[in-house]
Amino acid sequence: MSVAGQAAKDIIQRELYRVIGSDLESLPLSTEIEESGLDSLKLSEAVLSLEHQLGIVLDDDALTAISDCGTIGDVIDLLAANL
Amino acid sequence: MTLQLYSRAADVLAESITADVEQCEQRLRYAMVDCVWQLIPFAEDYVELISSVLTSFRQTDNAYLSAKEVFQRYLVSQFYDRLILAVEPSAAVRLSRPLIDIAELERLPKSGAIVASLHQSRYLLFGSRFFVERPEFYKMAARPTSIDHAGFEGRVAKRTLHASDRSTPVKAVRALSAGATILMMIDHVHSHAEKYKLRFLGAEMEVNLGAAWLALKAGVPIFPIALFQDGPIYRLRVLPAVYPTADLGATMQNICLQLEQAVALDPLSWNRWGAVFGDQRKGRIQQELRAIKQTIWQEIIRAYRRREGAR
Repeated sequence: MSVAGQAAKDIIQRELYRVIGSDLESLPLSTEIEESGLDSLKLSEAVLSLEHQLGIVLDDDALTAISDCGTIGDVIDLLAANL
Repeated sequence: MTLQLYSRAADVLAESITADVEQCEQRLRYAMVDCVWQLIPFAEDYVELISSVLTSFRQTDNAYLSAKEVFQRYLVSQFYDRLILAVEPSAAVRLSRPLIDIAELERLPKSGAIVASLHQSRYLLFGSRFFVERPEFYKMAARPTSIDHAGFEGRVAKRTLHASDRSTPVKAVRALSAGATILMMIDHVHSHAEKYKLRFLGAEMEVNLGAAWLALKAGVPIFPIALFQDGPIYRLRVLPAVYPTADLGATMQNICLQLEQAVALDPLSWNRWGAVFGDQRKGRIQQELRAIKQTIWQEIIRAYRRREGAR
């Protein structure tokens, strides 16, 4: 992964943990979304904030694909792939 | 005996689909009278429940809740709802136009708004109007609603936001920012969004915070609405706007304070009495109501198909 790609991934990870109100130690990337506290409003809060920070707009297909993610790590990978 | 009466009323109704609307309503009311009398003991039980809740909460004079009158109204509206399920959309709209007053929707801003509603049994009647006539109208729902099954799929599918999709709030904010009006029924929770307990009609009710969150993010007001019967007309009333604050729970409570008026205007139209004030007795009443609704629906569909087959 490029330096820029890794930096973007770090921003996404930081933003997701901010809206959940937790950290990587308490909630590893393998944590199921259902158990993480990442409900649809918190997830959307993070997406809107990331779009604002990174100056991008995710398309509807990418947004819909988030619903299929099983873990926090999956969400981070999916968002990073669509930047 | 009761079933025969339903069947007779359903025949009259099916026959009336292409008839003059006023005549249809008159014939329907005649056909209903016997049904209503058959069901008075049941109606009195249900009315007693609703009256006791309303009276204890706001000291309402419940004299207007005459069992016969209320249940007659209820059955007529159920018949109209089933009628809309039974006919093709343009006929449903034609039939409902003189009966449904949605003029107050003109008060909504064109720059985006959330319309907050309760689960009211008139939804299908109203929905058949505003989803056809108001292209800016979206709905948010956890699962397909009655309007999706009523031949309106093509008209509403692209304007349905699925609450079960975790990214729906982002899509909804974008739609609101583009001027959409999103209808949300706030008295039912789904599992993907944060829940909040508030007071409603003196009881505790659980809601999702989505309406308040969306309004805050998109910078749009929330308009609670009431659907109620006013003589022979079903009307939609737009209640005073609620402007969201960062305290999402307080915003939802303010919406619900307005929506209490919707219940007071037409108590029987609210479908969630049993869920919010649930105990065994009320649960049984809800079950009986569901059974009656199901019977009415089956009979109307049967009569309609019989009539279509005879053509």
